[in-house]
Amino acid sequence: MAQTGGEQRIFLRKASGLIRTASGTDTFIYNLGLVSVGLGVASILFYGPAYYPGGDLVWSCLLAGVCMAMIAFGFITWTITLPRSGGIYVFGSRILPPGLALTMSLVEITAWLFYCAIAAYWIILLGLSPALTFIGYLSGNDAWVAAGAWVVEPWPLFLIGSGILVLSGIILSAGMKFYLMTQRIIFTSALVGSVILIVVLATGSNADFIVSFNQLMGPILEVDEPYQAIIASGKENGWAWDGTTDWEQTWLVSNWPFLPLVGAAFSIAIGGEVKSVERSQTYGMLGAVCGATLLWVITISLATSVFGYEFLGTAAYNLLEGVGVQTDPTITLLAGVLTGSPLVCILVSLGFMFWMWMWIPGMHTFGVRAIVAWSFDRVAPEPWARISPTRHTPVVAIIFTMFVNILFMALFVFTEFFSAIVILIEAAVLAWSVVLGAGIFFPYMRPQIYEKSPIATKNILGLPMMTVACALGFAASQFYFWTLWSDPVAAGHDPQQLMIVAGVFIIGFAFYFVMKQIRKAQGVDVTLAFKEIPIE
Amino acid sequence: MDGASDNLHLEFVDVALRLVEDAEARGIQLRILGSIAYRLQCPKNLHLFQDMARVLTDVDFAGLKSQNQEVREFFLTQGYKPDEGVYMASEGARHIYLHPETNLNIDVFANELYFCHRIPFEGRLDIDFPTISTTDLLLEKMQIVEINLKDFKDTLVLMLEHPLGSPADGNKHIDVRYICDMMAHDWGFYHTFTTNLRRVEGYISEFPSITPAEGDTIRGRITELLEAIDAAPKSMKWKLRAKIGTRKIWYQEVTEKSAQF
Repeated sequence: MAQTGGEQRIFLRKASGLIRTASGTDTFIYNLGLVSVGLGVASILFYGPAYYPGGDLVWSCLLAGVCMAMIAFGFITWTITLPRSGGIYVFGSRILPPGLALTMSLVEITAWLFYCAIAAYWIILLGLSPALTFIGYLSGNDAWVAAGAWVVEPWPLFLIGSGILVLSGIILSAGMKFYLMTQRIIFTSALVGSVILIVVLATGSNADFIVSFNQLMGPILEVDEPYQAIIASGKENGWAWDGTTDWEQTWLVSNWPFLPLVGAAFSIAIGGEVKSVERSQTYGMLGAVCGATLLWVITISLATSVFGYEFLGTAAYNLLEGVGVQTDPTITLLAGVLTGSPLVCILVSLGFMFWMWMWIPGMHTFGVRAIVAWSFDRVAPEPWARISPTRHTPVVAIIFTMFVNILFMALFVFTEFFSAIVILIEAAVLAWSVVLGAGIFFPYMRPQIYEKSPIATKNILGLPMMTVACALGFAASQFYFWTLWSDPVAAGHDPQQLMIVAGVFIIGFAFYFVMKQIRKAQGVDVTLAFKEIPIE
Repeated sequence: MDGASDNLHLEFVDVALRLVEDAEARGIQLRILGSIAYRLQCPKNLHLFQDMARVLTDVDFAGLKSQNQEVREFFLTQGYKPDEGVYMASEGARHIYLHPETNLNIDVFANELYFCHRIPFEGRLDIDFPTISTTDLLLEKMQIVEINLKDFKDTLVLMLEHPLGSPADGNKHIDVRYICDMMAHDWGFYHTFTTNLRRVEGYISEFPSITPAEGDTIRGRITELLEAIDAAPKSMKWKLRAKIGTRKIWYQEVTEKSAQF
């Protein structure tokens, strides 16, 4: 600042300045949106009690939150040291062998673009369809129920999902400022939905819910006391819980809060566009981890109390296994049942859809920024970073990634094999782990860059802050890589799915070596880009 | 040119003039701003820049976003290489070009110069040629929060060379009403502008060649401009923001130029 304590100062500007686009608040919203608080609540409550009986959901959220904070700490030191856009490619390319850095980045963005398609799929499956169905139940109008079923048919699902993905491309091609502005509006709306859900749960009770559920669903399911029937049939068909906390299940179920929490570090993708990078990235990443964990702990505690742990577990178990008395136990629908209000159902559903939506342009941006960074380093074709003369945005990269998203959507909707792929997140966590591991040695291997970092003088236990932060991040990411590996529901290590991951790695290496040869033929040595010392 | 002048890179003035004229011939509106514009707008006091040993480091232009494509093509045909990262990150609001042989750096600001505070160029590039108007030149310096010595010196020379007035007085007068309107709607800019302007007269002694009479002229113009700004009626938004004051950051933060991708 020009004036401090009334003292007037003269400054020495070394060069003309630079304005960055994303504020600290934008960074926080970007990350919290990519955590997708609503989707996290829905997936934890859906899969948690069903497949991990005895797992304590609150402790699992806290475990995932602490580990994600460690990973975020590592990435904060990376992005402060190299404040550029492009995700882990920017970091890895300055210390790892170039082929490995590009491959890690390709693995990472393949996972994120795949999850873009999944988010579009979930908006329809977990948001739109239950909302239409429940409105039909309450109004007694079968057309709504039919519409709820129709939107999850393959072709309507693909077309609506593709429309959502195209909308993301349109928003990104209008520019980062416009995208960040839309995120602020969507974030506020999503937060309203989450607050309504918390209020609904806080003012309800288990007894109220059982009465409402049995009254509404009894005639539909054609069962007396369906709440009790669902629990009984679930137990008869193999769901078992002795009423105590199982710590192994608590450890494994923590995969479900961890999976969305990885979004809290996604602002590494836009590092070159973040203002006051040290403050904004720290606040943006750690704030998103803490905010999401807090919202989950509150919502999940209330939901298990109001709906009942056994009911949540058996209802989802019956539906997923196709046994016993079946109903859709998504939290949006259950909140609607609790209040008997279509309006509440619509508002909560909209909130969930907004949370899920925030995944899509956020992850899409991640892919675009990585591809642009590759292109600027000449390890990808230059046209991929071409800027629209009218919109001033990288439309080629945006459209290219949008078509990849739509391709994933088609694979997800029309094939059984791809719809079962859950392992890509594990590959992305492995890629993060490699880059965080490299960060431990960065201050020693690239001292000429690290010395210019704002954190260069900061030490923890006598070691460079980056070394300590990346060591913590590496340990946490390894912990979750193996936790995911050990959990066939969340990820696992199915050989066929591992082949897909191996295929992405092979494509990454092949892509690098092909580009290297093409550039060599053009008289360009791409490895020089990786040896460049950034001027930060 | 003598050796001292060579070190000041005065040849950049000729390059800037040639570029702006070539662009104009192709229908592209570019106007020079920054230190070269100050030299061009202050011919009567050019010796003061010599006294300062003011080194020219780059060439800055104001342009129009609607002509971005033409501007890019123009500089590419002139042999310059664009910094695509800055162009993309700024969404076309800023272009940076580097000449690989001369190492001359060119900055083009499309539609506005927006560092600490916003200075619009739309509808204002017709006021003067080959530089932006003297009014916008003054705003350009006075919007800088982390202001440095050479900015104060440039401003001194500008205030000595150009009287205050209105558009009716001619395009070389500093447009008091335009500045007052801008300051009356934006407390942050008002604070930075008036704080900086009050400090300008303190640097008159840095120029031994400025006569006492010239010093009085500068002081008089600064006082007159500050009084006009303070007298102008302020908007409600300005008054509310003024109550918060400098407890909340009042300007856009500017970081050191660096690669963004």
